[in-house]
Amino acid sequence: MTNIESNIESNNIYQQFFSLSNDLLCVTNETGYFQIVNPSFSRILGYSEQELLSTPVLDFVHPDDVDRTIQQIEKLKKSQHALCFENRYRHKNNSYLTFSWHGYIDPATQLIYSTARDITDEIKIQSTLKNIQNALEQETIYAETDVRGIITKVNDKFCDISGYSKEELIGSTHKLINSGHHTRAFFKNLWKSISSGKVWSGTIKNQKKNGDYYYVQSILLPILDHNNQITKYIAIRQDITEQVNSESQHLKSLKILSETSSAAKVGGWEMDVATGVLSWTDETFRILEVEMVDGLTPKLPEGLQLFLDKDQPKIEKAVRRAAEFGEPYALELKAHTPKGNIKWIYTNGKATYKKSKIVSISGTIQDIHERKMTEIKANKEKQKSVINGKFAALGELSASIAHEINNPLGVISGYAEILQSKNSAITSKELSSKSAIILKSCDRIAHIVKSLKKFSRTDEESPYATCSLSDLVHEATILTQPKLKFRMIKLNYTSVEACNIWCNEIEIEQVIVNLINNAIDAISALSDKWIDISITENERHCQMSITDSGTGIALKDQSSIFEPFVTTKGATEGTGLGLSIVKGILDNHGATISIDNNSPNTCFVICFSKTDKI
Amino acid sequence: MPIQVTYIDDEELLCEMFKEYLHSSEIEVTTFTDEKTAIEYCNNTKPDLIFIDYRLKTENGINVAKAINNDSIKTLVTGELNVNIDNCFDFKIEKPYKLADIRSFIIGAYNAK
Repeated sequence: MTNIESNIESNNIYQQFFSLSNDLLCVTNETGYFQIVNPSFSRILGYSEQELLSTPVLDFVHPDDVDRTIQQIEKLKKSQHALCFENRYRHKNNSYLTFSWHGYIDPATQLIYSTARDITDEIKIQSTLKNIQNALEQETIYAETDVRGIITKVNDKFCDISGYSKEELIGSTHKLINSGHHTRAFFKNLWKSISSGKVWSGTIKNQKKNGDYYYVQSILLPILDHNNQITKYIAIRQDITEQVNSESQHLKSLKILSETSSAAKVGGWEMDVATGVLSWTDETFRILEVEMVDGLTPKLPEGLQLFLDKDQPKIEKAVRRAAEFGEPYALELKAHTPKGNIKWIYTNGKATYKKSKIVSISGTIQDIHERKMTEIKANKEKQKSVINGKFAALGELSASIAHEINNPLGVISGYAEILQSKNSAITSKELSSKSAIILKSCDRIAHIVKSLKKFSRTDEESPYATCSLSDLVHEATILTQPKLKFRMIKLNYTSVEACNIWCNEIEIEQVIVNLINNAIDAISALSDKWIDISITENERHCQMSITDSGTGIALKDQSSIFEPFVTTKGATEGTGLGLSIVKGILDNHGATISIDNNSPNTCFVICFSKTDKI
Repeated sequence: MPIQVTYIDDEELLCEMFKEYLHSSEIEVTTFTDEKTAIEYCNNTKPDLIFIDYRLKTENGINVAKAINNDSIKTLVTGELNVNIDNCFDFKIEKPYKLADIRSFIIGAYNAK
């Protein structure tokens, strides 16, 4: 190859290098114009070569960088040292790109030979990193340690939360703030992780200088050099003490709620109206003896299956009305659990609204089996007591009523004997007169027997009807009259007309008889013996007062007098069932009984609601 | 001389019936529905037999018997189920009774005395 050929080949190589370089290559003359630019200029800045060569170089430079660029060029011209600086160039779309320049000046021609590299993206990344670094240092609890774990840098937040000064922290290790809460293995694993180049994150409980504890959510990361060697560790932490305490309190509350729910046997449930999906608390699963399976939630039809067939329509109806009309409900039902147990359940529900639309039904569920069984047993006992009391009263009455029957019976028997003895000698007038006496005596007996028969009915379900309270008192006095007469007690009765109540007439008659009997027993030994019964009314109530000549009931006895087996009579005189039965019957009728302590005598006051029913 | 019998009962019909059936030449019956008058009568006339009902208008038969201070044969007449005769009574007859039985009783008791 000749020298000429060799030069040509070299020029070609340089030309190729110039044209194909990704970096920006240019020559600038002393007039401040590009003498030559390689194609990368056009590619990166978007101008044509002609535009680049015909425009002063400084026109492309960011106005803020113009002075500095001029200074750098002047400096280059003076010192002839290689150019090395960064400035911003305007893209054709008016955005700016950052170039990193290197160049030198040819002293002979004053031409500046330069290369530039577009470092816009690097600058952006650096800027982002710097911002992140600043944010972390400003907003988090920040610390750096060397590879041995010695603290080399802390920010103010670290000092604030730990209570230690920068001087106390720097040069120490994190053992200074070790709370003792975590095990050695915990920190061993932590170090193992970060020393192997991995990032560790987790919650650490630390101790302040004053002994208080604080919790930090921590990210610990190793910083690696270009050889992947750890040069330092950075710790970024967030104070989560309040959150942990709150969560701890929340968990504690939930635990208490769960335990109390369990103790009270009260569960909770919610049903999504749109899907029918049920959400149950743990206690609800326990009450209904349904196995809890992760991810499986029962739906309404499955929930219904847990109840007896006869109760299912009740629930369906209540839930439907709650979902459609927002009606709250409360039901006592029998559940048939998957374990085969039948148990009484109380459940209630109410609608939950969202933007005026019912979105769910929620409520409680309670195991009331023991209570219900006790209640049923108590009701049976109560019913028995009522019947026993009725028989006790009847027995007492029958003794004195016997006299009332035997007297007219004696009349009948006697007049029959007279008629028989006179036989044909009797006149028709005499026959008629004596027959009338006999028939009248028969009527007298019949009336008493009729009263007794009604009184002694044992039907558990006697019908309610509108009754005149006056009539009931009248009937009761017929039954008690013999006893009153036997004890020489005067009964006065005043009443208003047409005071009607809705009642089971037999039970209310029994109430009146019991109260009269009690009054008779209470005053039998007194010299002044009387009983007053009066009925008064107002717009809504009928009030019956039964007053006797006694001097009242001691206040200390008044609270227990309506309890079963409490009596103020002697051991052989009363069963103690009377007033408890009276109270029970009146409760069932929605009536009240009280003692009028303003009366100088013993006075029981019963208040009934009036009825308009016919 | 007929046997003097007094019957005390607040039931007027029984008094009338008692007298109508038993009053005869053998038995002279006097009846009272008011116990106070009866006590006064009995204490004054000392009848042979006195029949006293238990349940009277203002007193019971026992108190009436105690108030009669003579040796008349006193018989309690009662329709009650459980009335025990006191020492002041010699006999007790339960209602309803047969008048024929009462007649036999009067004669028997009088003769025994």
